[in-house]
Amino acid sequence: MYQDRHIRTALYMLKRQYGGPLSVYKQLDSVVTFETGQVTVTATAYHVKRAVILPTVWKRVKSPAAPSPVGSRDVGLKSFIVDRADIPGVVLTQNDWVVYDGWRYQIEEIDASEFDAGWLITARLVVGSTSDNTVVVAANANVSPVAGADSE
Amino acid sequence: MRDAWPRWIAGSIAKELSALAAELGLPVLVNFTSDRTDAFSQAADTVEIRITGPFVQRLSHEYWRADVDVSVLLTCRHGGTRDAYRINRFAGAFQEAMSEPIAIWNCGREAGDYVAGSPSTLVHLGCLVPRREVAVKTVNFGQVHPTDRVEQVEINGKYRMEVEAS
Repeated sequence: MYQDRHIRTALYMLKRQYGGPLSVYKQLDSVVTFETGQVTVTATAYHVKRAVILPTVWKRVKSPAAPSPVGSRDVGLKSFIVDRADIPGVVLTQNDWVVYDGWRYQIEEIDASEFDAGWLITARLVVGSTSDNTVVVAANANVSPVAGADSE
Repeated sequence: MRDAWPRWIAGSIAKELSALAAELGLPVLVNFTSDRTDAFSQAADTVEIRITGPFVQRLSHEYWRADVDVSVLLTCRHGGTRDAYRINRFAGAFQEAMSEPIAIWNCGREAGDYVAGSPSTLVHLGCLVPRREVAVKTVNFGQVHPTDRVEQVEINGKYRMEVEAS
C-alpha cells in the first residue's frame, strides 16, 4: 500500500514539474476503399491536461530497403508518462498514437507501471509525416476541439 | 572510351529524372551530387536517384558498349488525406519515364562540354535504351519499419548504349 502511494506521489510530482497537454488516440478501425485508395481511420481521442513529457532524441534511421544512406529518414524518439487516472479504462497498444505540440507520435513501446499507476509510452515521430484525417468518434469530457486542432 | 562519358551519362540521367520529380512535386536527391536539406527531410514524399555505371566494353576499334543501372527510391510518409495508392502513382510515372530511352548530352563545365547559349558546342553522345531482356522493375517494400509510418518503393531500370568514339 505504501509503495502504491509512493508511486502515485512520484507521478504527481513529475506531472507538476514536467507536465504538458497531450492527446491520446485509441484506434478503433482503419478501412481502405480499394477502388479509390482512400483510407479512413476512426479513433477515440482523450485529452490529457498534464502528462509527463520527456526529452526527444533525434536520429537518422537507415532504410533496410536500400544501401546506406539512401532512403534514410529522420525520427524523433520521445517518452511520455500518462497517469492512468487521466484515461481510465483505456488499454493502449502499438496501433495507438499520441499528439504532442501538433506532432503525431506513433506508440512503439508501452510499459505499464506497477499498481496501475501510469503508462510509460515510448513513441516515434517521423519527420515529414503529418496527421491523418482521422474520424474521431468519441472524446472524453475534457477534450477541446481535437478534430480541428490537428485533423486527427 | 572517353573520360567525360561517365560524367555526361550521370548528368543527363539526373537531369531527366529530376525534371520528372519536379513535375510530380517531389524533392529529389541524386546520390553523390546533392546534399540532404531540411526541406528534403521534412517533405512528406521524396525521391532518391542512384546511378550505377557505366560498365563499358570495347566491341571493336573505337566502338563501345556502355551499360548503366538506374535505381529510383520513392519514400512516402503517411498523413493528410490518405491515399493508399499515392506511392503507386509516383512509381508509375517513374516506371513510364524509365521505359523510354534517355538522351545523353555533353553536359558539364569542362572543356568539350556544352556551353550555354552556344548550340554548336552541343554533342549528343547517344541514347541509353532500356535493355530488352530486362524488365523495368518496381519493388514495393511497403512499410519499412514496424512503427514508422513510411512506405518505400524502388524502381530499377537497366540501360544499354553503343557509342562510336570520334
